[in-house]
Amino acid sequence: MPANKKHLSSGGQRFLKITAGILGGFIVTILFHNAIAVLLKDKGWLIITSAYSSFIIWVFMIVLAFMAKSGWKIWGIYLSIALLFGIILYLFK
Amino acid sequence: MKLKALKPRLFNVMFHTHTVSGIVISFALFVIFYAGAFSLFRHELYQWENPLSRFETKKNIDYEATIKFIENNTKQGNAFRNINIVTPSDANPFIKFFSSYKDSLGKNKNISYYINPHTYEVYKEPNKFSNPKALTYLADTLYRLHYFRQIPFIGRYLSGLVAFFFLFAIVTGILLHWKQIANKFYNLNVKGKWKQIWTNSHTVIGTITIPFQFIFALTGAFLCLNIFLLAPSAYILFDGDTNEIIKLIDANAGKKYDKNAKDIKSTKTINQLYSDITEEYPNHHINRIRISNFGKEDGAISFQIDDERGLLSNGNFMYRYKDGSLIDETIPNKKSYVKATLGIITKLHFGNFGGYLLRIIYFILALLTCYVITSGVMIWQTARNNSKYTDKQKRFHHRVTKFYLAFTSSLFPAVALIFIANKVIPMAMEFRVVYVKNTFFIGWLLFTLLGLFWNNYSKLNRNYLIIGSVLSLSIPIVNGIVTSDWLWKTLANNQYYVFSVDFTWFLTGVFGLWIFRNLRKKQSNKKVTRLT
Repeated sequence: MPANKKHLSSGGQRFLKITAGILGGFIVTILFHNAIAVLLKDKGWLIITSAYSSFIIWVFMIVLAFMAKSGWKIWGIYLSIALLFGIILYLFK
Repeated sequence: MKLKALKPRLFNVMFHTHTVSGIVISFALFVIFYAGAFSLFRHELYQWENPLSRFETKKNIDYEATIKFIENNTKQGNAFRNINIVTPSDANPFIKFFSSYKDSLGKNKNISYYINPHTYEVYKEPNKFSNPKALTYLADTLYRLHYFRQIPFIGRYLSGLVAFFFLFAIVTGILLHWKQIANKFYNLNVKGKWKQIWTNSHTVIGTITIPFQFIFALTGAFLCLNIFLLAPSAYILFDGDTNEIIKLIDANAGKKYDKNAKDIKSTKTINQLYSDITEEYPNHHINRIRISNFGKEDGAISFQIDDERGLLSNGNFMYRYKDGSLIDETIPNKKSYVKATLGIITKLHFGNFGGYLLRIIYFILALLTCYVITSGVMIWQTARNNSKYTDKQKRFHHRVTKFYLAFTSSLFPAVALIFIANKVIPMAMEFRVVYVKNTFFIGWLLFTLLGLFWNNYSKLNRNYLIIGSVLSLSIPIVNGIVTSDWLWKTLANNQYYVFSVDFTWFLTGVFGLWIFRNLRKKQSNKKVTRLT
């Protein structure tokens, strides 16, 4: 009883979802933590929390990317979130 | 309470990603958990490894005198700047002394000595794995295999990525079985077709071991991949200075010392500081003494203590060298979140927070995880062994499975072999660690290749079982012959560290042969259901 193929994406879509999850997810995770860090005066607790929260958030970003219907859409969402954190970093650093 | 299952589309997507990520990491993950299980006891293995260390642990050591002794005995009586001392423990009774000095040509020379505190005999035991002059590296070989250190540069990152994708496999696995997760805790079934047995045991044992596996996937990913978190943060927040990040967590970690500072005589000795701490924390053990800028005005001495009784049980005390006044302290069980977290992560991973019982449980859970990985591969193969697949596909599935089984199962005899090699290759032989290490890796390779000739999974399993069991049984015998510390002798002499290694292998061998006999009996009673 392997997974039913009709629910699985292939080719380009598959590539987009894998890259969105692994690469996009990583970028969002890193920018998320650092965007909070720039807003804080006492950064120590956030840095040490990111030691474990990073991997948990990153993993869920990958899971969500696979759950998405369209690879383009999930890339779009992740890039917009990354951009938002990027703006925070730019403004408050 | 009723749990909802995923919708069919999501279920199939999760199922597929779980399968693919699982198969891809299965080979590496098995090695990580198998070698990791032994690594839990790498300090406890030392007395078995090195017969020269089979002496009683000395209490009340004069560390000032030890430093003087080493200073006088290195060529030209050199002065040390930074000294790192690992104090004797019950498991390893040597004083381990690490330092460096400038030789007459101005070159930095590292020294790494193991000192017998009773006789002041000194053994040069290089701290670097690559150094072939070391006395023994059995446990270290397995420990470094555990995170692929033998692969240059990328090994540890590779193992970190495997840990991370293991975390992914755990999350997708939980999502898949969410609806049935409650009865997966007890619903173990060993009847029915092989496909059902593999599936049932994979999900049940997988569910029971989730907390353990989650801890190890997460802490393992952090321990190997932390640079990928640290570097971007350093770049974004501090223009690339990672030292600044480390300072956020521990203010004294990145401290710089002036090598031209004035020479000074301290008014409080290391021994006095040592006994002060021991008095205040009688149940803790001082594990490590770290001296920075020894003999200089700005020098500092740190003591690391632990009683291994909890996740917050370790502490650190840092004093000024010149007068023994306190610079910084991390008190056990009274730590701030920022100071405690890193310690918790490492303690969770190394298992030194609940005594030997905890580590024995960790050991069993690690081997159960190996079973979960193997049963996952078996599900993958048996679920595809039907008419929906072409012969070519089936042959591919069979070859992958056979190679996986040969590669992973042969670790059992190969690990037993390195224990034998450690004893058979004489301690006095030059470059002995290289031969011991090569015996393991070449042995593992040969056992794997041998397995590729056994086309039947049960035959493969049986053959590795018998080879491994015979090798296991010969470990206490070889140790007895070479070091004359036979099982009954070490038990009578209270040398529990040596005894428990021999006895564990003895039990493993007996248990393996007992399973083997039962398999044979079953085979002669009825025709065995073949897997292929």
